[in-house]
Amino acid sequence: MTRIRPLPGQPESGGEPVFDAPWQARAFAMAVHLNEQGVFSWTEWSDQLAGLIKNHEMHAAIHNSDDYYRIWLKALEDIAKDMK
Amino acid sequence: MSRTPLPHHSHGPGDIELRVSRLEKLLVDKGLVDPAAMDALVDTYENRVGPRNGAHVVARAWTDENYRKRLLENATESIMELGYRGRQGEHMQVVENTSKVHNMVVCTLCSCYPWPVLGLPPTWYKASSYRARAVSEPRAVLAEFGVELAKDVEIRVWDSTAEIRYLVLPQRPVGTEDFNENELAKLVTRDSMIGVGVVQSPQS
Repeated sequence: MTRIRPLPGQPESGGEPVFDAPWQARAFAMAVHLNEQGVFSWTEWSDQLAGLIKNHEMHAAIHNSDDYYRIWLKALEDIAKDMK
Repeated sequence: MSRTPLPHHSHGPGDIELRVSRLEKLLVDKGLVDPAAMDALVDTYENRVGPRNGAHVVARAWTDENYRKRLLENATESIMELGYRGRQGEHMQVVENTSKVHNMVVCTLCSCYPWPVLGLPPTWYKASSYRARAVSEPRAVLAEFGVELAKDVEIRVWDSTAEIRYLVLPQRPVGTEDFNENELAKLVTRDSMIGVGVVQSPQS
């Protein structure tokens, strides 16, 4: 079977890009970075995200990375709003 | 606060990019975010962390019985022993597949996943359908991934959370008795460590 393999040491993600768009990568990194800076714990973040996912799934499903990172961004925006 | 008027109900890609950059600027201005540190994080998760790490752990467990025992008893420390640590790897548990038990992992509430050993989760892991159906009909989900289990194999579904994240130790395939750790690691797939795949024999 022939299959293009990533270079040794590189992640093998099943041929799927880690992020679909640069904005998703920025939003992802912002949350991880804020957690590293001690702005919130990861448990607080997960709770925030899970709450928004639950609300979203009452009327629509998450189908792809775009849907998912839109909710992720909303969680970040809500946290930033509370910081003002 | 003044705000540039946007078209109502605009959900185009330009809109979302604007929201991200507006938020990033706000956080930079507050001194909470360093763009260079964010670049480094993106590079790490795009290029440096991935399922090869988990495959190394699995191959070590297959070839070193003492390591396998330690891994099942204290996954976090045993994984750190091989140099894999960091975000979302703080509280790990490894669950072992046998001829009688097949384990699979989901995060029903969001997308908790062991980043240091698997990288970031694939899209389907975050999707509503997998997160609901992995619990309600795991056998059907496994069949869609091409995994057909005998009727007497028990399926255990593990729900990862911010507190504990699971990694599946798949069964070592037959025909690999002479393989060393590196050769074995090449056979181990991401899906087999989530429990929606099995590691195939090299001949098949």
